[in-house]
Amino acid sequence: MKKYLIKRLLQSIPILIGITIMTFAIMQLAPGNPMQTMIDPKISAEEMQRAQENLGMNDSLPVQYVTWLKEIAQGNFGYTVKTGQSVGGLIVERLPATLLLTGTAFIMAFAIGVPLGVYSATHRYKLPDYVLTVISFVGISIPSFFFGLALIFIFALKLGWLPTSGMITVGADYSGFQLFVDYLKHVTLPAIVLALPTIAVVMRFTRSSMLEVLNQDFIRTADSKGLSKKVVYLKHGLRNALIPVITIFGLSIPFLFGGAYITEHIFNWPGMGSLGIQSIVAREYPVIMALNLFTSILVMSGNLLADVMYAWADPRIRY
Amino acid sequence: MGKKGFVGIIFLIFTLLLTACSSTNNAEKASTAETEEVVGGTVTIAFNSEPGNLNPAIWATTSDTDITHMVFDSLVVPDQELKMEGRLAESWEVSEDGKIYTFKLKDGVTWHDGEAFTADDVAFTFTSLADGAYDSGAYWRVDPLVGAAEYKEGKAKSIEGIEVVDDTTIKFTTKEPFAPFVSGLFIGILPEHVLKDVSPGEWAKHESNRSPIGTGPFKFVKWETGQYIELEANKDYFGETPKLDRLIARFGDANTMLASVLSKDVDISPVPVSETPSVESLDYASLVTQNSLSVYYVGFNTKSAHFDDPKVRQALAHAVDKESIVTSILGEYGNIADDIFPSKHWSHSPDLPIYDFDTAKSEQLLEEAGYEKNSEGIYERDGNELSFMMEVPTGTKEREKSAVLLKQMWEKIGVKVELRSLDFPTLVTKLLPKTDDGKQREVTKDDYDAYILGFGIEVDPDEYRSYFGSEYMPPNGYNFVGYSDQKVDELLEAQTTEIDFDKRQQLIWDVSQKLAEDEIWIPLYEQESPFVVNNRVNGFEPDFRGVTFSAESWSVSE
Repeated sequence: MKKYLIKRLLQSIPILIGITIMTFAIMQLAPGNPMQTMIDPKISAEEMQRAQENLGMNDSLPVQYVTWLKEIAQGNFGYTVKTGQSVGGLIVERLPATLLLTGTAFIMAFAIGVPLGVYSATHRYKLPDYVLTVISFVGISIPSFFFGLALIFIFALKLGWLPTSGMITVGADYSGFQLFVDYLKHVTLPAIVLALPTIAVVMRFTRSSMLEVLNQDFIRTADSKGLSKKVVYLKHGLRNALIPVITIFGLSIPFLFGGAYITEHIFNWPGMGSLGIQSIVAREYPVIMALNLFTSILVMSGNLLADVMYAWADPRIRY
Repeated sequence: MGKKGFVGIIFLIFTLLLTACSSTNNAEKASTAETEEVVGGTVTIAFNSEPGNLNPAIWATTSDTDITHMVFDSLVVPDQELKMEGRLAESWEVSEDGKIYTFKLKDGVTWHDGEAFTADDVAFTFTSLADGAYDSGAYWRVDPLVGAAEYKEGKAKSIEGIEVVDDTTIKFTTKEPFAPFVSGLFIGILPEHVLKDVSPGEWAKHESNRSPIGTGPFKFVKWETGQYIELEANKDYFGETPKLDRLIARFGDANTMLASVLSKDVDISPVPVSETPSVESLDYASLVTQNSLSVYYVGFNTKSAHFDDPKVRQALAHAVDKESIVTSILGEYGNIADDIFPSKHWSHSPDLPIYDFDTAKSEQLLEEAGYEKNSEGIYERDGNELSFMMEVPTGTKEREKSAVLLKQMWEKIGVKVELRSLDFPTLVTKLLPKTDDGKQREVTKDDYDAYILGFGIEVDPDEYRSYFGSEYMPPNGYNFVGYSDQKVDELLEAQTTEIDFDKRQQLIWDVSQKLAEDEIWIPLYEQESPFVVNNRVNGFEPDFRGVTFSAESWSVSE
């Protein structure tokens, strides 16, 4: 196991370098650069040229990339082009918000998805199963920006139960438990929007896996022993059915982080997603690069985590 | 335990949530009761983009200056006609030859941290802009001064043209009389005691960009990244002290911010023109418009064989029904523009050639230019169809819709038009093209045909110089349309040294006269920006100087 982990970690290094090279290339292929969005008749062309020169934007692309890589190796993510903020600092500032949101959505997805999947499987071809199937298709297909706006309209504007956006009540200066409640109120809608597609996927996955297990001999044996339905389904059935679901654990992490880009934008959530969108519009290369690197690391750890958990949950799997 | 226990926990959480909700409601009620008695209160205003930094000398954008105008003061500020009046300056005198400006500063002004403001701060700010390491876009303000260039190149220890006479007097000397000089002084004065040990090249990284100390009517309190900036009233302000206690600026997507107005978390928010009907019916809020000094226009690449001919541009202008663009897209939030200088500014000439909507005239002009309709009904000259691509930057819905109408209007007279949507940075790469090794180069006929954009005056009409002067064609400036006219060049240079206001105005009117005759840009419309404002806010009257420019006179009532 240890050997396997070390091997996987070593493998990830060339993959990460590959990803950064591709991100860098794609970003440079997009027309425009950060300085060109600052067009201003009062600033002379020479002055603009000099600013670009100082930023190293006139160096050749391989030189720019290697410079970036060298700095990253020393833990320096660089500075934003226009405002000189430390990119590492920016990400550290934004990271907690994103982790809170995706974490809540993650818990929500499994806490809701798994029970619904079990319910759906045990009521196969009955009305609840059909209803849940339809809901899960809606959940997968509904665009998150639309769903988000619909939720804001209903729960924030019409019913007034929850706030429209943001992470905390501005200017309220809550602390302790009140702050926690305030946070819960703010996170509910965006977490639902973010979690919905994953809930649907987890539910469908649990359902099919559960159905497969329920058809097996040992379930019939358990059933005929006279065990209660609950014990048969949950103890014998679900435990075995959950093994493939664990894969979804790891795979949903990148999905949630990707979804956070749009969800954060709609709900004005101060996380990395909204930072990412702003940076792309402003062509803030250092921020885009850092965000991409960061997300790739997350995705790769998610995959690794899934593999490790797989072995842990199913002793038959050995690496 | 089991099921019952679980339900119990859920129930507990629910009750807690409900009590928490109701207790906050009580708190809100209590605080509103207070504001009935006390002058003060808080206004929350929404912006659609967050400032990059709060140092007025580093690449200032509108989202930056909307905040920095409140925290910092400038020597001079524009009045409603964009003429300059004193702010930190009590008064100023200009010498006979128009080269020496002596500013008398206000007495007893203090920085937010208690330090005294003096002429040294002013000298520090403007000297730093010419520092060799400074490269954040404000050098042009001091460029006219004697010795600024020498200081920048490291040949001088200080700028000869900046002289501190005493604590409240400072003298600027320019190389030549330069009319736009005073308007260039409209930039927040920075605290010397905070920044003196930091090289201007390192300013961008300094912490004061995110927690600024100014002299302005509002003090900075805190900045929650991605969420809001909080300011409080500077009760010791030397000018009109703010009526509010606190001002909160929130940032977010237009729709989200609009929803926050509806939930009453935000008092003031910009509204997209297309959304105005949805807020018009609110009984607790009103729509207020902010006028602007910008004109939306279509520009042509004169390197292209078609657009080199003024008759073609005039013909296209006559084919545009501006009235219908304004009524169908902008409604009451826009008006027709016949001048590329904004109609509310003194540079706007009352007497210009007008290209009224007249398609017969268009066809006549095209035929005079040697075009004939081919079998498909498209005009062509020497076998070249009059067809072109118009670049349409995304981001402003009204501009995108106008482009579609323009296409239809031009196709009606027999011109083939294609539209291409792109984001602004991409458009810039076409207007200011680069060679493969990253150097800026001249525009060629292949870079683009035509584009639609907005342009306006920020502080002085001199800003048009680098768009129309023949020496400012890329890579030396922003004359990407490739306009070249000796008379306009002379006028544009002459107005910079003309100190007499009326004479200078006449020179600029002459420029606009010639530009309108040549119709190098087709002006389309001017657009106003609607804001939705909760009726509890009084005194919100934004104008082109900035949404928060007069925030000190805002107040709240219940």
